[in-house]
Amino acid sequence: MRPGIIGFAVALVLPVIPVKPVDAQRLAHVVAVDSGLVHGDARLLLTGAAERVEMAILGQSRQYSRAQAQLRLAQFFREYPPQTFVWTTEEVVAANWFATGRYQVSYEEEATLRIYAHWQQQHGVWKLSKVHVFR
Amino acid sequence: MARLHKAWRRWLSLCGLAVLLVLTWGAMQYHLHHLERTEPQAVEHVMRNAARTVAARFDVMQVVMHERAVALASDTMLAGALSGGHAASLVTLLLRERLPARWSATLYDGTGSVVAWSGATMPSDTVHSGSGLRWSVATDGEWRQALELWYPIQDTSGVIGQLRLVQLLYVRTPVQNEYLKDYHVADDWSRIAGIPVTAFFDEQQSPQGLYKLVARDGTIVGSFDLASLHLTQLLARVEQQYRSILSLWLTLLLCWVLWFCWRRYAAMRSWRWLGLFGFAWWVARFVLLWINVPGRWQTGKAPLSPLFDAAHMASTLGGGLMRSTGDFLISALFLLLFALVLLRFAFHRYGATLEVWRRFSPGQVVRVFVAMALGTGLVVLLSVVARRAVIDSTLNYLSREALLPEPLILIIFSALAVTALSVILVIAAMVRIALGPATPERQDHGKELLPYGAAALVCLGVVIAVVQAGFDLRWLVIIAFLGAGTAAVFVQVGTSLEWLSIRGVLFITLVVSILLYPLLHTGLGGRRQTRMEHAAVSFDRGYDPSVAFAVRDLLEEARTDSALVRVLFTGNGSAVQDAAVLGRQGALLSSQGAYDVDLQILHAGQSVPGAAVPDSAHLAAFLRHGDSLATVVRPAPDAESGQAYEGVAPVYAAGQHAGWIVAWVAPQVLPEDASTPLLRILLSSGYRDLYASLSLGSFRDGILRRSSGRSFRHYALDTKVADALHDAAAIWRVDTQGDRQYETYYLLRGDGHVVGVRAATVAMFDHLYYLLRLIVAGLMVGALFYLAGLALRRASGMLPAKQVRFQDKMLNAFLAMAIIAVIPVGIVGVRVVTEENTKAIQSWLRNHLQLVEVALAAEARADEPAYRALERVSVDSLAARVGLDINLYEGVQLVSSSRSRLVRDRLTDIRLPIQAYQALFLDGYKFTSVPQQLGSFNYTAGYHALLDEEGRPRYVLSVPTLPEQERIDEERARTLAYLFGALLALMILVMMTASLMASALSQPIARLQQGLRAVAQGRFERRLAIQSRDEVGQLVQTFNEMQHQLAESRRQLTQQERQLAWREMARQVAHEIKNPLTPMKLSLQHLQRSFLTYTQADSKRFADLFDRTTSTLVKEIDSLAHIANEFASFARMPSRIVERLDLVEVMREAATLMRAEADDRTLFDMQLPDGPLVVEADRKELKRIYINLLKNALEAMSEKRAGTITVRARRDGNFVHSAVSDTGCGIAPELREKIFAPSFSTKTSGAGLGLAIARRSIEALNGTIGFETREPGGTVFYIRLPLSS
Repeated sequence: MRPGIIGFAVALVLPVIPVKPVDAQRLAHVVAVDSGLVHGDARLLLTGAAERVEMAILGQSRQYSRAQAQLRLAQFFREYPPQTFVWTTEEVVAANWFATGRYQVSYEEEATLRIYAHWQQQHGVWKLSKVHVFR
Repeated sequence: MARLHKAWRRWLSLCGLAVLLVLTWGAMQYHLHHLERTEPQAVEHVMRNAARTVAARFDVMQVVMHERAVALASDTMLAGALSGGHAASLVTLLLRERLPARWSATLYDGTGSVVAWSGATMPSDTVHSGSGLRWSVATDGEWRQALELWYPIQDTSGVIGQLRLVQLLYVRTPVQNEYLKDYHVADDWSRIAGIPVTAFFDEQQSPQGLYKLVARDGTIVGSFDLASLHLTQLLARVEQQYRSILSLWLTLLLCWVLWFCWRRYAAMRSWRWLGLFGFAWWVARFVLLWINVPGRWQTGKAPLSPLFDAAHMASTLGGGLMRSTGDFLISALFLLLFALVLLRFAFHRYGATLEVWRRFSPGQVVRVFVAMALGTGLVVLLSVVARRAVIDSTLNYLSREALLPEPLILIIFSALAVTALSVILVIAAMVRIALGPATPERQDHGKELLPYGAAALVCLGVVIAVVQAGFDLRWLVIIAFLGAGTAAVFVQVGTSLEWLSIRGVLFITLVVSILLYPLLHTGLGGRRQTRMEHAAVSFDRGYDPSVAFAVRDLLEEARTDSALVRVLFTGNGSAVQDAAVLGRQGALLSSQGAYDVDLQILHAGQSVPGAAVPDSAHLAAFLRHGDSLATVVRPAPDAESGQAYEGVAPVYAAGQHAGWIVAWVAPQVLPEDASTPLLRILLSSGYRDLYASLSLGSFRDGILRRSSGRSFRHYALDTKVADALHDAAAIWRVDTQGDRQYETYYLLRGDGHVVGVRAATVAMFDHLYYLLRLIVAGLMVGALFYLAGLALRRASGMLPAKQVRFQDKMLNAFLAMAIIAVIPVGIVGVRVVTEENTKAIQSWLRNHLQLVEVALAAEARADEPAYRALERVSVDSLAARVGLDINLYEGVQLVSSSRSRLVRDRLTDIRLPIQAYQALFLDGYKFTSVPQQLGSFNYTAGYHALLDEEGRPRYVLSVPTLPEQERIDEERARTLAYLFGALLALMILVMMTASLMASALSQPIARLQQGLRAVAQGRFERRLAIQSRDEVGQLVQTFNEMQHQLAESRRQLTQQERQLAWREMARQVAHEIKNPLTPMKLSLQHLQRSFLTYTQADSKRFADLFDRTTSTLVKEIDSLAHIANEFASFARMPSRIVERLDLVEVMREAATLMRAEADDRTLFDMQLPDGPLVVEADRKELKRIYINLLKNALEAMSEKRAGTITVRARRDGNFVHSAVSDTGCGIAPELREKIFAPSFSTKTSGAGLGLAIARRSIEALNGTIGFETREPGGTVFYIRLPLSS
């Protein structure tokens, strides 16, 4: 399923889902990140990202602008094309929401990377503020 | 034929490229298909190759080490020094060896004692003493592993010592940032082999059945494994390789298409072909982006791969034009070349020379307005580009560690400079196109009031709008760019290669840098503000839930680790500080920063662990909490900063609760404690990106509770700030503290909690510092343009120059003099500043080490030397007393450190640096300083010897870090920048002075030249004004005198010529009159005789005779009358009617008349301008002159062949130059001097006065007439008349 269609479907379905607004927001974020990782779409992954995103991709963490983060992630997806992605943990603490998952690199069964995502809530809006990729 | 050959070659190359594309694609398909059919063999083949490659690399590593060891060990001086026990010589010899990075060397004597060393210390289990070499792997805990080679040093007596060479294979650092990075040789092998490689150098950890790493002596030192390769992965790799080749062919094809379009455009120079070329140009750029050229060929390859790494700079602006540093530079160059093409097209189409018009047409005004509006849009776009280049980057543009910014920043600056230059050139092109072709002064001005009025109203509206919106620096920048573009039109930048001379390049570099800096500064300001806003949100979490989550993640991973679970059943609650466990399962925590982790494994039911665990009661309470059998993480209650965490997770085995894993986590460096550079480099890059150069303060209830940095010195929040935050959640202010101003952002986070973020504003000298760095980048680009210009000018024949203006000679001489003066001053200045900086650091270190010694001496008893006090005083208390980090060495061994963490993390070596050993122990110095390196961070450490009773160094105190080093290095960079700025200003001043002097000297010479030219053209009326009292003035005076004498001589000559001409004319008149008079006299005499002998019978004969005679007389009288008229015309005094007339019209009329007389084979080529050329002359007289010239031209052409008569006229400054040329037989050389002589004629009829009359008339009008002739070929008669003023 193409990422654009997924995003559209989410946008279409969300209004009719009988959930609280903040849960709908989180659901949209999860779907975006999940789809972005599964399809290797950096733009989709950073849909709900803040203006500055801390990213660590198999090394040091840096603060990137959203535009730069998108291109940096695109570079990562070129070097490590995705096969599958599975969420493993999730935790919400006050205005912080964390999640980790396992990212299977395409063609390399032994190459599994871990993904860490951190959203922060400001004025009721969740924004993706950190994405770490590590072994 | 040659053209045909060229065309064939062109199309052949296109076909060749197409064939290569097809063949490569075909080969790719075949290869992929072949791999699919032979999958197992193919995979095995690749794996085998990869294994061979890795083994080969390992072997090469050993060969290099072996060769180095052989070279060192066979040094006879070294052997001599070793056998003689000359430690100083050994140290000197080893110091001379420049070992590669991650290498170290140690020399042992025959007893196994270390006598010299270089590089980091690597522990060794045993000291080899045999006569053969030995390979092995040395391990330093979980931090480092290295390949070591023991090589014996021998002389005639046998083995006298050992050389131990070590090359690091694996290094682990506590944090990953720009200074510290883990290293594993397997990563290098993976890149080379193209397959992930895992290497094991610990036999215990090495799984079975792997590829072995065999040393050259046969010892198995390790093993490696290759990631399994699937077919799809192999196919993807092979396809990638083929696609790289396809990209190359496609790039060449694009070049061919561009070259084709360029040739067409250059031949046609039309709007259509310009548009096509421009379209092809930019399509080519985007195609290159799509196929990722040249980035795809640089991936993983130094040194150009960082250029295409998005981690440094990457922006989505422009659809990928700025997606990396390298792509940005390439896009800028594309833009520059396109701008040059556009500008040259404008100049070619509408002319490069612009006359100073006194009035513009309304159409021109409107078009210029549109051009300015478009130019404004371009400048705004440039500012967006500059802003994105800064914001979408992780580079530190404001770093002051060195004069020159790092290479990537230089490249970005260069790209911005090229883009700015392109914008100026495009604006110039638009202005030139808008102005259109040159038109003469308009006659009718009455109808232009309305358009000019409208234009004025529009200008007024724009000004009002700008003022309303707030006239700030942006508008000045826009106006400056528009002005620069307009000026570029008038000075014809881009049309001549002369602008690529050193003066031109220097001038353009300065202008572009000065124009670009405000835009860059705005981008830097924007980035800083975004950082400050983000920092305010992130600061003062205290308890960081993301770290807590990472600790929980660590516990969750650890409790499912089978190795750890095994521990529970092998021991009785042994404390585990297994960093390997942490390395495998604490990766998320490591990515958050550098944290100390203590892990402990406890059996279930063990409520009170061993004494090693502090606060066991607290732990017991924690474990009771953990009885809920869930993983719990919470802030450690005893941590003052609230940034330490503790957690507990239950461990299960076979479905039963088996025990606990307990974790304590604390940051290695608290950001607010990171007051020295050495500690700051332990912070993660992400943290530094967020907080570097910022001071932060957290206020609760108006009181400063916590701060980071030095700028928040007041403990109470300013009441004005508090009041302002009632109305807004966040405010920006400029605060003043002492003599510095700070930009401060205050954020209200609720419950009276205010966070302030402060950064020093950019002072005036800082602007100069950053501008100078931008100029340096511009000069780098300028240097490349200059070299390119040299090549182009040489290729086009401009170099060596056939003619050099005096002004240029002077300017070049002054520039060369300035450069020659500036370079040594600069070199000396840099050395002085660097030496002063080094001395300042050394002085600082020495003073503080002396303070330490004084503190020790104060602690020592009266009868004991200072070093004895070390037995009672800890290094920590010493460090606290002097406010510095201290390392203590006993002999050469590190025994104590106030920063033990750095020692534990192997960031501080346990042995004294060899340079310090040489200075203190061998050379007898009390103090020395040694450059050190921590990762890629360079610093200076000071070493001070504490002497024993015998005056020998017993202990060495070291100050490993210098809080002021950053400030001193910044001062050094700033001083160098100012030095560079002063030298640059000096050069500019010299150039300006040279320009003024050259202009002052060359102007009188130019005037003299014009005067001489006028004299050569026979004009003596121009007298030069004397404006100086020097030799030049004397020269001018001499010239004026000479001109006067020449004019007088000419007047006399003319008078003589006139008299001669009159005499000649009189002789001619006499001769001409005599001719008809003779037959008249004879006729009359004959008539008289006939009359005298007349008879009646001769009446008829007499009548005939009378008739003939009278006819002859009448004819001769007519001839006399004609001659008299001709001479009257020639000698006629000027009584012409002079009026303002259009010469073009007169010439056209004359040509029309003469065209009627010409036959059909004679072609009249009229090359007359469309507009009038107004002169003051007699219309009839002028027309007659041109009729005369045309008549002569017609008659000069033979009747037997066709010819062309060309009639042309053009404006030449303040004169009109007209010419009548023919393609006749030309004028013979012997006749040329008489052509204007009266009565000279080569024709059978006429008196030969036409040209003489013409000359006289033209000269009377202050004009000149002349001719040029070729035999055969034709003749050109030209007339030069002054234009009517």
